[in-house]
Amino acid sequence: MDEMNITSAQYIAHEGNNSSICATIDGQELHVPLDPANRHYAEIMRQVEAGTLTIQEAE
Amino acid sequence: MSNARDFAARVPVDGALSNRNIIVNGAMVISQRGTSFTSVGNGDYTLDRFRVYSSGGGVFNVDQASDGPDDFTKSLKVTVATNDASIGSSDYYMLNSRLEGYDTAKFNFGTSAAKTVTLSFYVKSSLTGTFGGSFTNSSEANAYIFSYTINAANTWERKTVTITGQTSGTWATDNTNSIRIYWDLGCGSGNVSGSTGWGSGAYGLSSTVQLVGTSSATWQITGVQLEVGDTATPFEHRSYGDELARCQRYYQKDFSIYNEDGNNGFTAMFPFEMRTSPTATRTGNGVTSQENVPSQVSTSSRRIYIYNASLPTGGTFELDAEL
Repeated sequence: MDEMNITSAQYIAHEGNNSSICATIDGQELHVPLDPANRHYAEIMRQVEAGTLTIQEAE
Repeated sequence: MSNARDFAARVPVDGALSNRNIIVNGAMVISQRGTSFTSVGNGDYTLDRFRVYSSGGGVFNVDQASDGPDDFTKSLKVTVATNDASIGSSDYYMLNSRLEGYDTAKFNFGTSAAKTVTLSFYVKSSLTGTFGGSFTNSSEANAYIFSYTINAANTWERKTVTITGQTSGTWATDNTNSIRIYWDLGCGSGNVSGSTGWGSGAYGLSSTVQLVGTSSATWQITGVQLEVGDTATPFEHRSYGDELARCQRYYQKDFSIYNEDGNNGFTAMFPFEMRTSPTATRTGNGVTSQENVPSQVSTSSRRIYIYNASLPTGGTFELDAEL
């Protein structure tokens, strides 16, 4: 029921470590923390596990 | 009623004398996202802490209405913008509020010491009859199905639902979602139960009023309270500032941060701790129109960090730590 329309996701790195995910969700660009209690991160990981979303590596 | 009896009816017999109400924004006074929501999307938040679900062809508009029973100035008003005349079995239409485990841990749900709790609210609708709803844990494997009857059209009525403590199931006691309350506005047959009381996987009761089926029908709610005990005490009003602060644990709008000089990133602290690390959405510049969009934005529950090698940088952000 909480499914979101996630069209892109890419890790953002700080000093070599991934610090957040820049994702386009329901048409908006969101900065999503790597926090399992965050509802957007939880949904990103659910879709990754379901095989419907891939998170791009940081540039 | 005698004065003594009147006094007794207003004093909680279980639980706290103050801070009884677990619901945040139960009086519908806080609406940071706006006061009018047209064609609300499935799962969208509207007034603070209240979200709408709609999976079929029906469409709702939601407003923060300046209308309420005595002692209330605001209410959440749902209007059927597009009706769904043939609700599918798996369709759902609902209003929902999600509660945090830290706030409901005292209910002792999922243990042998589970307490009875009481949900109360004021409701007004253009339709009359029996409506349904449910009270679930986060997995929705445990769901208490309830019903209430609206006796007169377009008239405020207070409704009370007493829920026996649930001794089984998993109910969060931390900063994650523990309880979900649903008001059924037109769920399909696959999403409702045939009886009230504890069950699973349902959002309402069968053969009840389906608001979404009637074009332009309206349904309003305010004065939502959830408290320990088997009695609905008078609604506990809180100050506007208190209620706003409680809401901003989950969502803040227009949080501005700006870095004019210096080579490193820039951190700003939130006024108080949010529920968890929020999602940040940049909605505009922070201070000036010359700002470069940050190339990095990260958050914790206490702060936001931005960085861009080209200064100045900054922005105004929405911060979302909703359940």
